[in-house]
Amino acid sequence: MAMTDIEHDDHGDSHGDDHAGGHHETPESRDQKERMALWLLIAGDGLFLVLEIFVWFYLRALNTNGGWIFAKCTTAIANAQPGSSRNLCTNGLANVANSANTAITAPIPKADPTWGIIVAVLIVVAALLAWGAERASRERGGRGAIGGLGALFFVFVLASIVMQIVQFQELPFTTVDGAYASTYEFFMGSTLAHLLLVGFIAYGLWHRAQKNMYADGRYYRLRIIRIFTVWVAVSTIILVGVSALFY
Amino acid sequence: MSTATEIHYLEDTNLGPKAGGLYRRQNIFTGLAVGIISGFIGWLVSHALLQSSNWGTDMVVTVTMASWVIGFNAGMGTFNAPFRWLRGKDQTHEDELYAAGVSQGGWRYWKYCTDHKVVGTQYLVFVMALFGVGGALAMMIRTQLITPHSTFLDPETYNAIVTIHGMTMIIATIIMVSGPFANFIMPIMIGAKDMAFPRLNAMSFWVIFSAVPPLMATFFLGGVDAGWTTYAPLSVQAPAAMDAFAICIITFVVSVTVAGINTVVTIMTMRAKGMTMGRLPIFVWASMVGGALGLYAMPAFLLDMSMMITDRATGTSFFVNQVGGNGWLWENVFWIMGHPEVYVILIPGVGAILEICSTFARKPVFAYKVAIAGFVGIASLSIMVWAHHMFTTGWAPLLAGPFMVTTELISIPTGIIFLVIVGTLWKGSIWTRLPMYFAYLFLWNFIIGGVTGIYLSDVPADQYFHGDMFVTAHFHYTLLGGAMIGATAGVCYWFNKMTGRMLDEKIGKVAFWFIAIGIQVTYFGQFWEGFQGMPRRVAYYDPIFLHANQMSTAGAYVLMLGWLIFLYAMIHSWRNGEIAPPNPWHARTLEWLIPTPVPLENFLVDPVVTEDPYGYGDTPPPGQLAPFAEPEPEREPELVPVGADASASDGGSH
Repeated sequence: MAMTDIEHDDHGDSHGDDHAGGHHETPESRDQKERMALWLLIAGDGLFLVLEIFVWFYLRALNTNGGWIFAKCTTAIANAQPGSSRNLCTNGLANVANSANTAITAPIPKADPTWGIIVAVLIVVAALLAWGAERASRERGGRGAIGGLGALFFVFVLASIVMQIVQFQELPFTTVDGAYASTYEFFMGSTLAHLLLVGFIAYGLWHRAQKNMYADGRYYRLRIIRIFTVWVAVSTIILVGVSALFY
Repeated sequence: MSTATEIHYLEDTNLGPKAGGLYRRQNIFTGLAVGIISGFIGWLVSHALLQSSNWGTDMVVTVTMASWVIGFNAGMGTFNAPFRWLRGKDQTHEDELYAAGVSQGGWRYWKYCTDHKVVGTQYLVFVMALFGVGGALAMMIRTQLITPHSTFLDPETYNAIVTIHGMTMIIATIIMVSGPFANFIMPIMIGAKDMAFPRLNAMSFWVIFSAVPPLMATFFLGGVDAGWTTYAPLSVQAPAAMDAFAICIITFVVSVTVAGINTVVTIMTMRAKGMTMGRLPIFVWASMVGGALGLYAMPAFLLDMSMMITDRATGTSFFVNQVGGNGWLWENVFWIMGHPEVYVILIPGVGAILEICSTFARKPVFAYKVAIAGFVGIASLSIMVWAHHMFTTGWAPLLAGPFMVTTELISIPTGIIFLVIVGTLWKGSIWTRLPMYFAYLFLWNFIIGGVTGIYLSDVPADQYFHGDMFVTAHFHYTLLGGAMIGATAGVCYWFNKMTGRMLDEKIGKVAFWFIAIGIQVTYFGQFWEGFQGMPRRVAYYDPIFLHANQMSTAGAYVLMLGWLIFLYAMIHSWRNGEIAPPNPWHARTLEWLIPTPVPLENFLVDPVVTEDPYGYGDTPPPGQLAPFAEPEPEREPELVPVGADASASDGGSH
């Protein structure tokens, strides 16, 4: 491979966050790289989401031992694993059965979807606010507008996190109540993990906007945040939708 | 003005006393200290709050191991930049230079260093250490099996060793090419100054480093006796060691995902001017396909292990049939990851072999575009074959036929790749140096591993072979004999560029013969065991399998000796080897056109690529030797200083 001369290295961008590995880069170059990385991350996260939904429908369709909507615990189940490290029946159903011989016949109730819908609405609003902050930066570059939207963005993400935690407390079942309950709570845990990440980013956006760090055409940073927040909103809606519609 | 007077090595930059900030005080020792303290606090708190719950021990182990991982990385400096970003205090240019290892000498190898060459070297040493551990466990397994009822290990310990040998080797083989070579060599090959995200690059290494102690801790927590596939419900019922195992895997997934994103983005966005996709060295293509496939595979691993942990530590029921879960769910999600993962391991190794064959045959890669299509074809088909691992489980019998077809289809792109390698060597003026020895060995092993795989893809044949030593022999031929030998060829080829010293070929060739013979004896012995019907993962066996096991164990000792000799060759050469010239192989890819040792940011001027990388024989570059000639120092390529006009390169003023 012939390597001939040169490129003139005249990027000279002096902003601190445009350096990496000791060399200078243009904002355009950083933007391109970060957006591509983000889309790859979203692709991987999207696959995780698809697999989560696969788990939901798979366990629901198989309904192994009638355990999707858990209803009973029999002696046969309690003795199914003699010598195992734990008694699956009494441990797995600690809240409903203290004895392996106890027959529980009432199915666990469906979770109220309202809380999930509230979480989804809050994160959608947060995504719209992130979008607004990006537009404000792109069009006006104003400190006040971005700072205000950034603060609201953070508040809404925080509210969605709180609501998600409240939902955990309001559930009419716990993790041990069969496959439906397990998968439902896993969906919520997954959503909470995403919301915490967005919360971290939202606080950073707000804080940095206060320091006027998104001025001078640096809206591309906000675009990255907006894209990720929109993705989290979409994935939350999908998980809430699946868990609400397919009991 | 001469070029030489213009060169300013970044390594010589004088940094201020505060450059680097917190990084100045962080290194592997602070990482270990903070990790241990954090793990201890995690244990203390979880023990106080959670021990009394139904799953107390599992919760305590999970929290303790997760605390170790977070603490170690905090102590290393992994989280410095995100938290500085959060506070609106971005790193300065001097901080970045410090993080890149400027003015730190050898100490930078023990720190969170963002220079891709340091990260590549760290990976190389780390992978060797992992192979050392995994290899020692393998020798314990083979020693146990030398007689039918050996008392060397008890069955529980044997099973735990089998599991951790498997997972240690899986981790090591996944990163054995993508770690050292895709980090050190690949950016130079495309004309980049570094990886796209240098901090993430350092993070990927130290995160995977922190994943290994939880894996080794499993031996002290009762052992994981479920095999590396950790099928449910075995894994749900396993001792608390399984929680540490799962934390290891989740941490590993984070590392591989970050590294995969970094690799793909680097190749797509950091190429030098003129480095079109059609001019990419084939190893770069292989690294990109492997990285992208890893991004596909890892989320499934993350999901499976996350559900496993919640089953064990919070009582969910994903995998326990008695309470609504299903063991097949584990197998499905696991193999959605598991089969692509084989190609995450294999494809970069094949890329290295193709690079070597082209260089030493003095020929372009035969059917370059077909080779790329082969890589993409393998990757695409590999996501549609997972259920062939489940033919004997009873899951979806109607799907056995389709999955048999997709699995057998994958032999087409794989065969194409094989033909591309043979075509590259065909009628070439082959210069048989040590890397070529391993390339030949790769071809031999690869064909055996590939052909025996077809037997396993066949539903009726798999009914007989599944779960026996034939499978073990097959995947060792593929992963050790194929991918790992490809990586070893890569070490022989790029060792001089990475270390500045030539690898001792005499010792290397001695090692080669031990390794080559050892592989055949070990794994032909295991094929023999498999044909006789000996199951995998058993500590005791019927005496009818004795001779095959003795053959396999004898081969394993020969193989071990070979690897030890190779390790000696590396260490000896690294310390005392002959100083390497910039381009000892007279190759044409960019990494050979820059000085050795490679300076920080690699290129003193930004390169512009004007030809494809494999133009051997057409118009040899000035100073290029004939293929059979002994190497001699090649003249430096003509470079023009940064900022100079190209037309002024012949002595014009600047």
